[in-house]
Amino acid sequence: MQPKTSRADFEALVRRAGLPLTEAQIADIHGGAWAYMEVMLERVRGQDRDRAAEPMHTFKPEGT
Amino acid sequence: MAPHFTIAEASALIAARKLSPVELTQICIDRTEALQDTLHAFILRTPDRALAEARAAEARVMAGERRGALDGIPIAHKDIYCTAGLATTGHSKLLQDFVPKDDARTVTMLAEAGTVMLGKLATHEFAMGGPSFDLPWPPARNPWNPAYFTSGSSSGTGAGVAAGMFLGGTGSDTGGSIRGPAAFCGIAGIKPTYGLCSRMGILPLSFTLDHAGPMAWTVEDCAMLLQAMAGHDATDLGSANRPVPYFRSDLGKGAKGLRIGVVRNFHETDNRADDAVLKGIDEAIAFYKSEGAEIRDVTLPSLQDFQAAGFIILVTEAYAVHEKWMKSRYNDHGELLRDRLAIGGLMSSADHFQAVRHRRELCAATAAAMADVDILLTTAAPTEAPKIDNIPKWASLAKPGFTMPFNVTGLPAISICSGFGPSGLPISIQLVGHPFQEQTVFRAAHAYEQATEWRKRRPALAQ
Repeated sequence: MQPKTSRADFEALVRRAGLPLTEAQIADIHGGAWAYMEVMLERVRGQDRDRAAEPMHTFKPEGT
Repeated sequence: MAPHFTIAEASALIAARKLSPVELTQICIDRTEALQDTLHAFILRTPDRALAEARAAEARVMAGERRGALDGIPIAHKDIYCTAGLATTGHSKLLQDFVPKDDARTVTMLAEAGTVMLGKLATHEFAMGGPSFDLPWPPARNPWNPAYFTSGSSSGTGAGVAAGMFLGGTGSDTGGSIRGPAAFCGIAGIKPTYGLCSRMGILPLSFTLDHAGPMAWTVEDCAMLLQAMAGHDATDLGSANRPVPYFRSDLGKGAKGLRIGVVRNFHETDNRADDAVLKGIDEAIAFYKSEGAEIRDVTLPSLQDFQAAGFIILVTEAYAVHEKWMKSRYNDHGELLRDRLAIGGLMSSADHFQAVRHRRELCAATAAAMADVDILLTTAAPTEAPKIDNIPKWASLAKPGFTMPFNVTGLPAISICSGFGPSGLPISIQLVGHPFQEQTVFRAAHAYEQATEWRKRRPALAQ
């Protein structure tokens, strides 16, 4: 599977994260894993989620 | 070799003064001595300490002061459980010299129950990166055939229990790390309900997905270990403040009247299991039917949906735990851990929160689907174990696992042996209950286990 994110855009993500990856490591994660992650990211966004849908853990002031 | 004992058998013999805890511990030490170089289940062995603890247990027995059913039972801990004064490495170079000042809460609870601690066990690096060959210790190997994978991350516990190096042990489960090794090593392993066992003092991987739990040869043994591990801990913010039931209370009740939902979409469609695993599931269904259980099909959201929410939450939470070292000591991690964890650093906050919103939807859908059943039935792994030297780095992303749904939902789930595949390696079924209904999970699993022959077979190298 090929990722939709270009190599240049992926490198920008890595730089923003501040991770000291080598060229080979970037190529491996981009080419080997990122397409799967794109599918997962699409899936968790869903199609019809209500704007107000809450996350599983929501802040509770007495819960500290 | 010496005979194998379950925890229940050994406990009864110790109580009757027909088996000495010292003798039992020595059997485990001798078996470990014979098998460790092949299986690499242990990172650190503590035989002198174990024998001292066994002698103390024996003295209590002789004085009529036995602490309970686990007094004198040899166990070992996954090496992400902190042990005071004893190295706790997470199977990582980064913590090679870390010696905690305190025990994990569950380590203390098991020690107070009188268990004898034989040492610290191999894991995937920080419970995520494995099987890795570039760490200070080799990965554990499958006792049914050491060329094969144990699954992980509680790999040493799975290998050691199956081989009889100890009678039970601790595992942790963030996406399947108890149930995966239980499945591939042919033992029983339960991931309890989220909040039932304290996580305090266990190296964290993912705060909202991590579960502590026991692994052992039988369902009953898991129930016995869980009895000592469960309970409220005010220092763990996820800990549930509720009474701990007697987990063996329903073991003799059989399967009659249980309502069992078969999650066919998981093992027939979403990630179709191989023929041997499907046959094992069908035979389990036939057993439950014959015992008077009510069987129906239940459809849950797809494994792919659970994988997406679960993995994104896992990898972002895990990255938050490890961010400092990921930036400053990237190459001191093993390749598998660092490259998998790096993905967490590339997610946005919106990505994380969409996953957590999806988690709520998945939990609601699962609760609705389970409304009219007591137990869900599927497998814990779709195949036998693969060869240990042939695990692609990104395999877990390519196909969704069967265990993550119950980390995402926090439900109690057990993996038990359902036979053997064409390579002679164990296969599994997975049984899942409602929150804090571990007794029902144990009841269903024990009924099946008692009706099958699988507990009579041990790995050939451990005979």
